[in-house]
Amino acid sequence: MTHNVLSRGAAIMEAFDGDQRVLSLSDLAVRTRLPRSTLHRLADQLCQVGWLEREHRGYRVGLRMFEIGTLAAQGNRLHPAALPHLQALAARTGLAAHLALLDQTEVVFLERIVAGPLRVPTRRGGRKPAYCTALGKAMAAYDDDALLAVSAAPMPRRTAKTITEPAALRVELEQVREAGVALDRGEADEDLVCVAAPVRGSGPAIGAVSVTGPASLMRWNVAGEAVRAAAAAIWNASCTCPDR
Amino acid sequence: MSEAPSSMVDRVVLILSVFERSSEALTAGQVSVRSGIPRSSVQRILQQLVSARWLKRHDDGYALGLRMFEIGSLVSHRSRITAVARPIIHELRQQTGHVVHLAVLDQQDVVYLDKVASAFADRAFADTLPSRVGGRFPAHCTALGKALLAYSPPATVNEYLALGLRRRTLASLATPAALEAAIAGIRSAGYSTERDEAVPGVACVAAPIRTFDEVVAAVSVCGPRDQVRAKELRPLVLWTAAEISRSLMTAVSPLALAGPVREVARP
Repeated sequence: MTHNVLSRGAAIMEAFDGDQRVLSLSDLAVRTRLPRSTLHRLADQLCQVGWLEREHRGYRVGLRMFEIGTLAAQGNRLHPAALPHLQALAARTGLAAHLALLDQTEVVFLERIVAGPLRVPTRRGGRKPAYCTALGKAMAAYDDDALLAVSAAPMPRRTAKTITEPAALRVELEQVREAGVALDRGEADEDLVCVAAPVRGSGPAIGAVSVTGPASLMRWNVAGEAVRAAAAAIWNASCTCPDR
Repeated sequence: MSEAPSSMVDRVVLILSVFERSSEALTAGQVSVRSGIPRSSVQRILQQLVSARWLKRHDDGYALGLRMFEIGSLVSHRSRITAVARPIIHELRQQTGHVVHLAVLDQQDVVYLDKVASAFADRAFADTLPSRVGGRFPAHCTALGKALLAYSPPATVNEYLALGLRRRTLASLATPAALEAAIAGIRSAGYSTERDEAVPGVACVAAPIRTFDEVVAAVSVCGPRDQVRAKELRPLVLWTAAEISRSLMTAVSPLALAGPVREVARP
């Protein structure tokens, strides 16, 4: 009985996503498949503890979740180690600098820093599939389990340049290992290119850094070198940082 | 050991707050001791939180998981105010060379939405500050909190005073009369200052960010006490706050603003 409450509460929180940040009771009913009476009561409880906040159109994720969530990212030793290097990377290249983790077949953006007025369609805490991003390829290249998972998952075409066949992806990752950096020449988004490097020692990557922007602003060699140097510096810093 | 809460939601909240206060992974036994919830119950809740991926299991125990970060990143008012303010507060950091904070008021505390420091030079100083993105600090001990309280409705201030003022340093405001006097001063000056009140040796200058007569956040510059010259910083901080206010008001219509942003400042 009590377990139901936990999984239902979790289902309510999981119903929110980057596209729809305010959900009405009806939206929640559709997304969680919970009865309205249950939803109403649980949402009330979640509001009281600050996980949800009420507004006139429905509910949104509350400030307490932001606080706990930020700690979850900082608990990852990668994040504090990377922050100054990402800022420097964004300033040096004029592009959007990202730090990401690989989570099964997707990358999760831990941080996103944009120095100028550049607009890129990424979001801190957001996800993208690994197969069509430089970040994902940079990490999958050094992790056979990840490569298997990524190749087994669907690889739908997003642009003319998207790699959609597992065999082609394996060839691509071979090149990533040779170059030490992964490129995205508009594979996820027609107008957006990206170069990424894995943060790693001798084992699998613990994360990856990238710079992203429109093709017109990308200087591949300069960006590739900068990203590789930043990834190496972050690896060193994360080794000397305390675990949390 | 205090009485453990009986509601499931309260138990989960308590368990997560135990993780919030720990810098290391925790075993089920440690969570049980720190939360006062019986071990068998803790064990079941931890398992469920792991399967929801809100917690992650490590070799040496449990820690907050990636899903927690993802859900927390959705907090919409946070992302809007921060996104609008970010380029403007970076400019303030560049002009002053000091650490810049952006914060909102939530009940008894300021909650930091953003913190920016010079790439390397100020980092050592910034790291000595108790502020952290997503962290809290008692409002009346900070310039940010005083600026937020000064422009909050009287009911908010009364509720704040009713809960009592705890000091963080010898210089912290400790009596309702002192805070009320400070608020009156801030309201006439338009900005707030703080010296040694949060951390000895540190001073801050802050200004409220307001939209349509409502305070939604505050911005501050913060530095070593002997380097913070309030008179010189005042116009820069006020200009920054006004610029963020203006951007917030032009980014959305007053109608849309009445929803999310109002509640941020309402404890």
